[in-house]
Amino acid sequence: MATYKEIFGKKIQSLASDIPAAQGEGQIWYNETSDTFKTSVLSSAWASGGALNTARHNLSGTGTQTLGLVFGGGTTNSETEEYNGTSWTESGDLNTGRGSGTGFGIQTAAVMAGGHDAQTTTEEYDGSTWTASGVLSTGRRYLAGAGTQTAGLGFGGYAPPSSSGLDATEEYNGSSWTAGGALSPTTFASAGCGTQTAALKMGGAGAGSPGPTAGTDTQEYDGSSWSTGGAMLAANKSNQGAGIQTAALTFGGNTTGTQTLGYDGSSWSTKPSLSTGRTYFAGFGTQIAALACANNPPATTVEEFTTAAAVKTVTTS
Amino acid sequence: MALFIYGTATNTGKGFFTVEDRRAFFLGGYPAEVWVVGNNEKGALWLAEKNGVEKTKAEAQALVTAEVEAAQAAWDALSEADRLVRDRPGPITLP
Repeated sequence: MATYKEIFGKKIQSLASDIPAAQGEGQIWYNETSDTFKTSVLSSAWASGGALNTARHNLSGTGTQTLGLVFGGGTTNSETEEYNGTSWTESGDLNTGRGSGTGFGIQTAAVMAGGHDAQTTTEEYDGSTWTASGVLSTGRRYLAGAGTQTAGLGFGGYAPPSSSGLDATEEYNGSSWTAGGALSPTTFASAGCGTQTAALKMGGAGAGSPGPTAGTDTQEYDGSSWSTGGAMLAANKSNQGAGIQTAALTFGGNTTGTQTLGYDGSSWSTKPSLSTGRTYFAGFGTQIAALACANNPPATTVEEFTTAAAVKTVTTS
Repeated sequence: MALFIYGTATNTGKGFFTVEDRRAFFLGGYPAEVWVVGNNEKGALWLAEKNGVEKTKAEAQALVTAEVEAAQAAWDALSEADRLVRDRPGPITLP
């Protein structure tokens, strides 16, 4: 009869030193020096990041954990700040100071669309300066966004005096907006991430009485229409999102505060929580390296979500 | 033994709390720079290293409540249109 070794080829390796954490994920090995069995596991956590220079809420943001960008806030804030993974540096102001818009793109090629009241204003950032661009067809605030400066998406939102969410989806080509597939259910203050042809809407508010009601709804956009994805584990609104349609993260929000959830393209799972509950803040990045910036009331605090492999000693308890 | 230690400490940004800290002890941040940490050696050491000022639970709760009440007053002063789409800050009860 074949032995285990003959079938599967290898016994546990006996090594003088540990396999690097990133290469050792899922493996078990014996460390001859420490006389212990070792393994490498992926784990995630939120840690504090560099503080913003300007305290604010209802700001927008985009980019990555080491090349981040935040802009606007409140009702008239025009401040822009760039993040290098450690600290924030002030950059060129928005031409129209405003909060409650959406942001997408990267640190050197970003877009801010919509904003306080029900603005149609769109501005593009080139790494130092904001320039006015084609306006949204439907003015709004608390919309969500996804994509890049030349292939962007804005969806949902709210246009006072109506207290209902909008179904309007608009696609941006770098200079103008055109209509996309209608969002259903109508939503505002949802999180968004992904690309123009593979976007994700996470939670958000619908009309309610006496105030807006948070939802668990997830919607996936394919470049022409929205379809329902896996329901979030808890209703939420004013949450933020990061990543792509098949590897997303949502965190913070009015309803759950510190909760962080991960999405794999079909279902949600619980991830480690923020240290501080956050609402009306900015969030962006990827599923394994995200940023949560500011808070309401206005704050400068930032948290970084990191997923990394770490070598662990196998014990019996 | 109490489950948590309560205190105030100024968030100094990057490195104020790390991934390793989050894995070593419970840590929760609240308004008024109130921090709640797990009552173990590493949690206590973290608060001390951050020049934190330890508070009783009642003292910490009072600081948080005062900040929340200020935020509620700010919400009450918003226009009706803004209040419709933004929830009034709710009470926070420390663990």
